[in-house]
Amino acid sequence: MEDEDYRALIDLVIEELRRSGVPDIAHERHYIYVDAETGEAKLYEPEKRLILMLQAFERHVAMQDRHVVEESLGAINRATRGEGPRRAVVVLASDGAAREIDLAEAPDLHIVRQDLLTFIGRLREIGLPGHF
Amino acid sequence: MDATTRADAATEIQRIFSAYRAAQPTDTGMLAALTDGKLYELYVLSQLVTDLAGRGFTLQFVPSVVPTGSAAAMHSTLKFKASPGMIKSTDSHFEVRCPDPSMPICYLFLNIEFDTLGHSKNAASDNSRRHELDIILTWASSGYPTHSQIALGVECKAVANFEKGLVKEALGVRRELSYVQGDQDSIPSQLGGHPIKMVPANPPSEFMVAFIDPKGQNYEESPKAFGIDFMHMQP
Repeated sequence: MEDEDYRALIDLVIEELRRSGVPDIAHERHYIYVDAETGEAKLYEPEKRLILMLQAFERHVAMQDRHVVEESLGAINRATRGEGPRRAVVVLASDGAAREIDLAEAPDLHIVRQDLLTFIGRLREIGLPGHF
Repeated sequence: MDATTRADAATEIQRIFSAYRAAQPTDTGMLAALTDGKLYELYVLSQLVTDLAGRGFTLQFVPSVVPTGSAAAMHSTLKFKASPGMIKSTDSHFEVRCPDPSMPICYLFLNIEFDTLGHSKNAASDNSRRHELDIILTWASSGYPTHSQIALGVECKAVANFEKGLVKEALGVRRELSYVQGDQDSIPSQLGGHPIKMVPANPPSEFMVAFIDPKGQNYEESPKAFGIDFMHMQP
C-alpha cells in the first residue's frame, strides 16, 4: 500500500465530489489535526484522508435517502399514540401559493450508501489479496 | 496496492458516484428541501419522539388543518417549514401529555422562532429579537414562545463535516434561552419525565444539538457546562 495510490484516489474523489455538487466535503480544512507535541497543524495521512472523505460523503448521501424518511416515520408512529403521520412534507417559501415537497419522493440512495460502506470497509482491509 | 487494485478502486469510486448523480432529483424544490437538511430534521424528530416516550411522555400526532375535500386531507401529514415562524395550532404538531398528570399539556412544534432572553431584558425589536429552534417542546400554543416557555429545544446540524462554528452557534442560542446557574431539575423532569435530568440553567430548559458527523463529539465537554447536550445521531 503506497501513499501515492491513495493520493491518486483522493484526487479522483475530489473531482467526483465537485461533479456531484458537494466540493466542500473535500476541503482540506476538514482533514487537519493538530500535533499534540509540536502544536503544528497537519493533514491526515492519505489513507485515512481518503476514508474520512468517503465517510463524509456517505453522511451527505444519508441525509438525502428516502429510506431514512420511511424509517423515521415508522419510528414516530411506534412512539405515538393513535394515528401518526403518514408522510412528511417541506413547505417552501414562495411569492405565491405555498409549495409542498413530499420527502417520500426523495431519491432512493440505499444501495449507494451500502456500496459506499462496503467500499470503505475494503479500503480498510487493503493490502490483502483478492479485493476489488 | 498494485496498479490493478488501484485501477479497480478508481472504477468502483466512479461507479458509486455515477449512481449517486443518476439518482439525484431534478426538482429544484426537492433539492432545496434536502440541501436545507429537512430530511435529517425528520430523523432527529423520530429519535426525540422515541426518547420522550421512553421518559414517560405520551405523544399524539395532530395533523395540519387542511381544506375539507382536498387531496391532502386524505393524508396525515407532518409539515416542516423552510422558513421558521410562530406557533400555529393549525400546523402539524404533537400533543404531549406529561407523566405527571397535574402538569399542563405540552406541544412539540417544528421550525419555531422564540423571543430571546435578551428581548426580555431590553425589549429588543430588531432582527436579534428572535432565534430559531428546529424542534421545541413548549406549553405555549400560539404565537412566538418566550425563552421561558421552552421546555426543550433541538438544533439539527445536517452537515457532513462538523465544524467549530456550529459550537459557537449553539452557545449563542443557549445564551438566549437561559442564564447559567447551578444544576437543577430540567423542565421536562419537573413535568414528570424520568430519569431525572439536571441542567445548569435558569430557566432549566434542555437544549440539544444533534449532528450526523461523529467528529462533533470532540466538542461536547465545554458546552455541557452551559447545559448543551451534543448528540451524535446518524441514520
